[in-house]
Amino acid sequence: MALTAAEKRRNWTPYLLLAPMLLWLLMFFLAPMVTLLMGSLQSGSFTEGFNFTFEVSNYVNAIVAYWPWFLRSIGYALVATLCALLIAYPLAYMIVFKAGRWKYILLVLVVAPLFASFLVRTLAWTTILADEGVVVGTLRSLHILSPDQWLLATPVSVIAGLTYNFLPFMTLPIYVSLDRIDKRLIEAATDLYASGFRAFRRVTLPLSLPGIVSGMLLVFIPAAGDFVNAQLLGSVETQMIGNVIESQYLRALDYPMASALSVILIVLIIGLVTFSMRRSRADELL
Amino acid sequence: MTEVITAESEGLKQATALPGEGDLDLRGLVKRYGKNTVVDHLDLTIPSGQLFALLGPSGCGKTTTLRMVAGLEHPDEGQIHLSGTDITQLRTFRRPVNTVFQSYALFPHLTIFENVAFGLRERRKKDIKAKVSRILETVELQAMAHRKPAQLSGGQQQRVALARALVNEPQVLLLDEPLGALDMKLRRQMQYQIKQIQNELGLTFLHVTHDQEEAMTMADKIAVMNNGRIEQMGAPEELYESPRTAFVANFLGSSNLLEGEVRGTDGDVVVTEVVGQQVRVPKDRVHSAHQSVFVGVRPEKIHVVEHGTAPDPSENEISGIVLDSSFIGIGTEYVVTVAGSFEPMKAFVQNRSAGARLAPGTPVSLRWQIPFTFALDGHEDPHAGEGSAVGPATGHISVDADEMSARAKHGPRK
Amino acid sequence: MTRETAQRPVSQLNYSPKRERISGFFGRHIIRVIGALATVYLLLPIAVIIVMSLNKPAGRYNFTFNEFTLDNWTNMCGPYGLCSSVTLSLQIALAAAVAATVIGVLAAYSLSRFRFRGHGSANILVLLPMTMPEVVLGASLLTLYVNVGIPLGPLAILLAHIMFCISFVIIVVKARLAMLDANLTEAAADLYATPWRAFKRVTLPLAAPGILAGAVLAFALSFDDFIITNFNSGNAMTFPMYVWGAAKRGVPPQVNVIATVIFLIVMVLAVTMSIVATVRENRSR
Repeated sequence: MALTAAEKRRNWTPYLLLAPMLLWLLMFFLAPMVTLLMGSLQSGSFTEGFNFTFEVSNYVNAIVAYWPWFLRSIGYALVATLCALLIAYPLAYMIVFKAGRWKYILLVLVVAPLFASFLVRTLAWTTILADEGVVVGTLRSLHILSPDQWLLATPVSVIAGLTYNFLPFMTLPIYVSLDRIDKRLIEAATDLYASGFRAFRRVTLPLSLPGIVSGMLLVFIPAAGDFVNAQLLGSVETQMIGNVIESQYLRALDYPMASALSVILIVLIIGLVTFSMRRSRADELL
Repeated sequence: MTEVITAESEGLKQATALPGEGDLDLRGLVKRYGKNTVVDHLDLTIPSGQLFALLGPSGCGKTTTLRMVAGLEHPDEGQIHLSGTDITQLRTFRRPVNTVFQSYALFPHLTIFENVAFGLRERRKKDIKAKVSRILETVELQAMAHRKPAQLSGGQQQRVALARALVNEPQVLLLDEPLGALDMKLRRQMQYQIKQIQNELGLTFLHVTHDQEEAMTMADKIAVMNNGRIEQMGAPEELYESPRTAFVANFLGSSNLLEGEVRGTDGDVVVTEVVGQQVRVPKDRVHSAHQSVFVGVRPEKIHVVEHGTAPDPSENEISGIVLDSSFIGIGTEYVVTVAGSFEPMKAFVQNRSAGARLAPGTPVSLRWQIPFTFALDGHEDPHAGEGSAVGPATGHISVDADEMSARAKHGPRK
Repeated sequence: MTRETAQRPVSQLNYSPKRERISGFFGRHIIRVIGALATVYLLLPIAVIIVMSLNKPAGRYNFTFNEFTLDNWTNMCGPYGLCSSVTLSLQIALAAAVAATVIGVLAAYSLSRFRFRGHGSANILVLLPMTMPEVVLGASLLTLYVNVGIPLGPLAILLAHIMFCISFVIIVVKARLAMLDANLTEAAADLYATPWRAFKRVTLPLAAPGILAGAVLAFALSFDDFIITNFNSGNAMTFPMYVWGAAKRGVPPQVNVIATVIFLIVMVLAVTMSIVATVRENRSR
């Protein structure tokens, strides 16, 4: 059947509307990914120019030289994700089930940190965790920290910063998934002889799992690539792969190495994410 | 395949008649969603000035047909003519038809007045204020003109939807299950009111519904639709009294359908044999090309008589034994087993005479006037259309779930 | 719970009074305590920012509270380059928000109102930039700019910001459009509105809250972006770039003033928006 003029117009409308977005993402998202990949296989130097020589050795060198940074990034990001989960879940749970009329005020408080500038709020932690600050003072007086120990410039402060900065991205999806649960389901579970805790474990928790999974992704991904927290709250000992990529690009000007590091980071994150998704799906089946 | 022939001959009859001014004419309409044919070579003429009901169960294609008339869906084959002009390729906003949506689809950000004025403003009409006021008066909503839709009750919203379509004086008004979301009492009122308005304005209404009682109370003419085809078309009484297919017999009210064989003719009646007893059927009420038939009669046409009295020669008679009886206020329904038939017969008797109900086990004669008997094709499924009719009594809110999901999956949405 | 258990012999029920008490306590108190602690944790750094904006630092570093002063507030633009960096950030954020909103609204409308070949892939493409760490986005853009010859600076920053804002706008606007009855557009067409008129008179006004929210989000994201900007800024100095640079030499307390002002403005906006939404919801009921 031949299409009429009207039908043809209708068929094209959605594509025309999409075109600006597609064009923009093609030029400034997909094309850069290609140049990044190409760049990671180049050789040469910034002053003499780079040539595409299919230089796979960039990857070998990157891994050999910087595997501890990768490991540290993944480790810090994982710990920060778990900390965020431990804080965000009870928080979201409280907002949904216990907050009553405080619900919306608490929700605003949850996103409030995002309204304060990212760098400035990270710097605020240097005041909070400073050696003369309240936190270190309290911990020292409780003998959790000895007088010659401190928090700033340690992994603790970096992880605290990561956790804090990305916490809203954990809280919001969990809040949404908990809020969606039909409260009668929990009542039904209680009616079927589940204690409060068992009802939580067998009904509430599984139903909020999608929120947990997306929250973990939204925290883990930016945390693994972050270099601000490690820079402002950490020391040379606590540098993450983001710091290396940043300095390779902007100070060492070793683009091929920096590009190879970026590609490895992407692959690592995608790999970990798909692996954990598979695992969590397998858990759901059990 | 009798129902196909019936539908097509019905269509041919109308094609030969000259299409009048304002007639809506559907020719060979086909709509498929993937492999699923929702509307299957549909022919239909809706004469100008009538309240025409398209009646059928969920997923029979009636809503899709209506949407094709509105231009919201595009037929894969066939044409739609309005007053003799082909509007098949005309886009929705150019068609002189208006729709009352099942969900009403009132614009939540506009007042009632602006909702009703929407179409007039789009067509840059004059005297918008007077026209809107007049139509709001007709639906008794002048006082609500400056409210928002969310502040109105369901029945009021329904009337706004009606006014919003009517104010444009469409050549055809399309009503898509317009009363589906209302409770029974309100629905009765609205049925009456819509009928009134249609009488007053003399516009053509195409009313899509799954509710057979609603269709029968309101419509001048009904087309019963099933599986994308029209089973039978006619005035409500005609459809009810003389169904041509098992689907129609069961979907409109209920019917007793008993297997039988044609034995011969006697004047203008056909003599059939049903469970070993002779049943006579008027010739013009036999809709079968075969020897084997289903002989049918409506339960309320039957008298239940205890054995003994002799039957009137103008009556058919089948004897059986009362299996069960249930008292339902205005009448009593008997279920009677008939020797030789797997299916029991139902009889509905009005509670006009004093005296006890017949106890189960009582041998009885079931008698009815010969002209009430009809015969259908014996190859049909005698249960077609059973249980799919949803009367208003259940207060059931129905959405054409199959059609909706089919649209969501395959249909290009506007 | 207790009523049901009482009807059966305790021995059959594996009944543990201790667990009962813990779960009850968990439900009633621990949750609230954790919630309160979490709230403190969320707001502590903000409180610190505000307090330190009123500090007169003892030395170069504004880490510990020394002495109360209003000087920083009266002399906001004191430190060299601070206010010009804020101006540049505002300009870029405004341009990025406008562009991303226009592009995003068109795409969101297409994705939520049409079914077409490639629909699913387009949806995934929209999500992809959000699943990439920002370092990678910034770094890859740097390689593109160097290869193509786009000079680093305000324009390069703007192009990048529009890119990552589009996705957020699309998600917010799509969520709003999904709440609207698809029949409304059909009803408008049925009442003689052309597709463009239907969009203007029905879809646009109804989607307006979502579009506004998307635009505000895009503005905030662009204004606050540091990681991507860091790779593409060249010599251009946005507000986050200023803070980053200052962090090494000691951040002037005026930075806290600016952060406090922004925080308060956004807070007031967010609260008014939610109040307006609640009032409207109540009124329409």
